[in-house]
Amino acid sequence: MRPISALLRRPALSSIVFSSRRCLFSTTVSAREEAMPISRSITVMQPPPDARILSRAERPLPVLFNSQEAALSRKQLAGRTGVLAIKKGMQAYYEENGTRVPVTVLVVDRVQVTHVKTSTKEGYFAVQVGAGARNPRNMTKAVIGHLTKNAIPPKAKIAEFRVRDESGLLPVGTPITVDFFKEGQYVDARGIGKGKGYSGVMKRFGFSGLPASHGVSASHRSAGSTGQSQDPGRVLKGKKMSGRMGGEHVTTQNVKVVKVMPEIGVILVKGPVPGPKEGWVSIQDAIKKEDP
Amino acid sequence: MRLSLFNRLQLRPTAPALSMLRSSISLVQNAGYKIYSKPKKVARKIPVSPPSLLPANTHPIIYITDQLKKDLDPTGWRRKLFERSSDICVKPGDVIRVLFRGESRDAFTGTIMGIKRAGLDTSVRLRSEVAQVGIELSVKVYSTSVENFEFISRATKRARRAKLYYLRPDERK
Repeated sequence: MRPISALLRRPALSSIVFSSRRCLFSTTVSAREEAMPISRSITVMQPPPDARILSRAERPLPVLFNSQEAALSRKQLAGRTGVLAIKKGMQAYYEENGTRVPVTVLVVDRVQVTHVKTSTKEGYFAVQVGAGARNPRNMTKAVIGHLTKNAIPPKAKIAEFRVRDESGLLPVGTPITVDFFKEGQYVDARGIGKGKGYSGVMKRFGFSGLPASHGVSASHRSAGSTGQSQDPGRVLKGKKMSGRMGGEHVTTQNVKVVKVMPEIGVILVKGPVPGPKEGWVSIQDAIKKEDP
Repeated sequence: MRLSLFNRLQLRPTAPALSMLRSSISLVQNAGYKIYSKPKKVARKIPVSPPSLLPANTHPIIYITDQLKKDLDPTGWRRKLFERSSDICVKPGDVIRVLFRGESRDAFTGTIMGIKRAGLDTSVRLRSEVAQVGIELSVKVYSTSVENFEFISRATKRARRAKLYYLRPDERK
């Protein structure tokens, strides 16, 4: 919307044209026009009664592209909070129509909302969630105090789930059960993937290695050449080489929820999920699918 | 004693309206100032966690497998047919017929070549000769597409092997 001052400075273009046309041509109304008048509808924008020219300091600033508010509006986030679960292993699940689905067993154990983050205070919307149980003797007083001030028992794991806006926030202390998810919906599963240790270039980056025979001596799994000749005369930064692989944060998107077992707090999801057995997995509504 | 008193001294001007501070006075007035000591902090009680929903002494996978088995096989007939300790257990060499749910799949009769025991994934491999063409079929015992197993005949002689792959024709000939 243009500021009021601009409107007051430049009158509507149509009004100028209308007045000049009147001067150039005959002012008498033709017979045809008298019989069937052509409606010359010209909209002249009238400023509101309380309009005044704003000073430079009063003019509203545009939202900067690299501000936190603009970033929040651009982000693709889930509408609701997520849940922390423990990956216990995999199993087979037979559906009613006879299909066998490989499922991962995820145990949701005593999950509660521990803290809530808002746009006004922290600059974004998030729900902090705690799961499991832990001996308070093995926890710092800071963490115990953070939970105890809202009458929450000591939790084994605390994690945050970003949400789109305040409609996804839950009151602190709310228990989140497995009923939160519906059978057939899609979720994103996040976890720290299994560590592979120091791995070679074939496993780590999918290099083809060298031939198994034809004179290749003791370098069947090596990378081969690592660069050019005198120019650049060095190995470029970021060259794919052997090194530690795995143990990183991994997200598997669009994982289908096959079965929800509320009596024992277990979710069965289709397919594998990042991380080893007994590892923590964060489950939240899939951002690339519609809100359930 | 003297050192602790010095540490606890909080020199503040007199404030008659602050009754809460007055209640924590532990020392006598001195030179127009009241000496206060901090009220003793009572440690907040840490709430106790409720027990977990899963039973304590069983592994969740084993517990869930049992739950799923109860849904798939409430009477336990599938388990009895393939459990080694059961008296009606099928053995390699026996002939059985599998009936599938729905009209699309026909029943399959064949000799048991082997039983792979893997919990919910327990499967049985059947071999049959149909129009001089050998056909093998691996059937998941707990699958919902399996309606029934029919026992046709027991092996004439006990097979001395668990897996009867020798029934397959020799490719060398």
